[in-house]
Amino acid sequence: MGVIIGVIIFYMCIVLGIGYWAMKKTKSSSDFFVAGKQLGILAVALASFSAAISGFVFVGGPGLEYKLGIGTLWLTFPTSISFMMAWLILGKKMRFLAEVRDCMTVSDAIYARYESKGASFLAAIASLVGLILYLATQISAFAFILSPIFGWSFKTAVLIGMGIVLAYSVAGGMLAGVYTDVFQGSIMAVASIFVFAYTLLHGGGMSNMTSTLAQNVAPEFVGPFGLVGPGLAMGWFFCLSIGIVGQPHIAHKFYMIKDIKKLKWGPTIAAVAGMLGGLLWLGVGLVVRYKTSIGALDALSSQEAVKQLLAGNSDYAIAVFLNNYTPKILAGIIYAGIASAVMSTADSFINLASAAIVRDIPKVFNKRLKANQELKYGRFAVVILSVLTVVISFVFGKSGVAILGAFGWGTFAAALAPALGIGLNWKRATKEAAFSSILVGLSLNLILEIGSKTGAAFYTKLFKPLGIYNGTFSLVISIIIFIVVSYLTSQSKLKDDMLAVMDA
Amino acid sequence: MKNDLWVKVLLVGAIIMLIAQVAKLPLLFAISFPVVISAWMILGALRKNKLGKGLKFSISILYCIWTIGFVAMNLIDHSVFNGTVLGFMPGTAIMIYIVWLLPFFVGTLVYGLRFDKDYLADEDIKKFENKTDESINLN
Repeated sequence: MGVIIGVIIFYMCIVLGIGYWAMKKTKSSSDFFVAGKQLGILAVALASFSAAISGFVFVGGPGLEYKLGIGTLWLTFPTSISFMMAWLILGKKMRFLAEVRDCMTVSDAIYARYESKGASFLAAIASLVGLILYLATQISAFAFILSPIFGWSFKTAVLIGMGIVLAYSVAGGMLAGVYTDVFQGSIMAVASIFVFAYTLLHGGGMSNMTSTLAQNVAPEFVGPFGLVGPGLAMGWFFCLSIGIVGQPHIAHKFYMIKDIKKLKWGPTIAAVAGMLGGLLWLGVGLVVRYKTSIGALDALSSQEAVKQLLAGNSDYAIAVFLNNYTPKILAGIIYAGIASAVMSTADSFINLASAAIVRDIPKVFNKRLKANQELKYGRFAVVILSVLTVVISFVFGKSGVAILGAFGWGTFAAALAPALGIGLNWKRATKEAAFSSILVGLSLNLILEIGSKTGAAFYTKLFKPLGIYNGTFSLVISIIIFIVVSYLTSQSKLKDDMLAVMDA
Repeated sequence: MKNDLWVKVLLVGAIIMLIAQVAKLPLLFAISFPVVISAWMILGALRKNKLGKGLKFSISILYCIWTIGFVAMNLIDHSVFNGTVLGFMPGTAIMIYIVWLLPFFVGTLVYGLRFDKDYLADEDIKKFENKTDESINLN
């Protein structure tokens, strides 16, 4: 463990150095929330990749695959094309919007498009809810990584992880998150290739793992839908691909880009990084399950991570693999990479959520804070959000990092994708439609997810037998409502600058 | 307006998706969801009511990949192990090599290569500047 901890400390010093440098550069609320709108394409693309995956892919992914098989990869496979969808549907429109309006958040974009305070308020609430869920995903992933290394309990690791992230976010703002993403995103993408190579080495090749798992577990485990069934697996693919246009942590990054022509290669950079991350998910989940199925982990059962894994906490799969089957330096880099990925992603989420609190919600009530007040109250809001995040991590964290991440993603997609993704490309869309689809998408997804997690009778009787992904079900209803209500209500006249954005 | 047409296609696709989920018909879901995604992508790709050649090719191929790929995966029996294709069971090989890897080349990469012609030409930026009196930063 000495080498691993040494590498982690060295790596984290670099990350904290980047955070300190960013803190020095953060002088205004624009710097804090949208990185001063001065970023290059590498920063935007890698920050989008990191925001979309990080702890969700590197910890939750292998854990979920260990439990349910290859079908879980539908949660990450959209990355080969989903960034292109976001860039195609939103990129140009959001970037042009930032030229004509003072936009920093998705709620700002909703207001600019529909001139509706109600829709903008709901967008801010949806952002807040989804971001807290996503934040809890990151912190839980952080805890799963830290606890076996330092011998902490899951709850202690959550508290320490949140403390580190909090200090980092309050100081550095969005700049810290974005520039750390460039560093750690590149390292993680490259390190994923090495990890994948080690999984093949220790699994005796992909064909050997496939045939052994088909025999020892079930053929379906290594089939394209795993043990989850086609309905759920395809639902994941749908929501995780096109649902990207409802993700505020991706959408608002288009505001940050300095030159609009640099939108050109963003999806390619983000997709390559995302696909390499997918290799880690594919390899680690399979090889650890393979090792379990041939009894190779029995001899290691005195280790805490192995003990936890065999007891059913599948999110320890990555720790078991790194501790036992990779060189210590690589393990240290991956651990530190995951931890810093979580830190920078959590930093972006925290800043977005605080923007919703100090900018978007007061704006609906005709209150506008001064720039220095936004910065001050933004930092205070961060502390409140952190408390909520810790509570959610305690309650849901151990139920699975990937599942918690999918909850957050589905909430954003169902609430915001139609109003943003269709609305910015269709002049006939109305404010009543935006309001209704955000309201229904947000509430429906929350009701279904809470019903599912608490085992509520309505969910168990009506929805569980359908074998669906709640995010997809809610998104589809939200789309239908958005279009139907638009046709049923009268179209408002768009302002000239908004028309120019939509015609571009 | 072409946008209106594609929004109607999107609506029909979404209604079929809803029916597929409620009626537990995965094959119907596999046929309908590519319609929704493709129609939505077309909405984003339309410029002056026209779809550039490169993006038209790209979205059409993606639609075929998703429809054929997911229908094939639904029709294959995964409960019996009959050997591997390039390391995976046949259905999983479709998943990995066709539905995961191929879209990067025919979708993501094509977007980058055709960006100036199909998505954002210099004349679009000039038009925007003229309409809004804003000067766009190009560095």
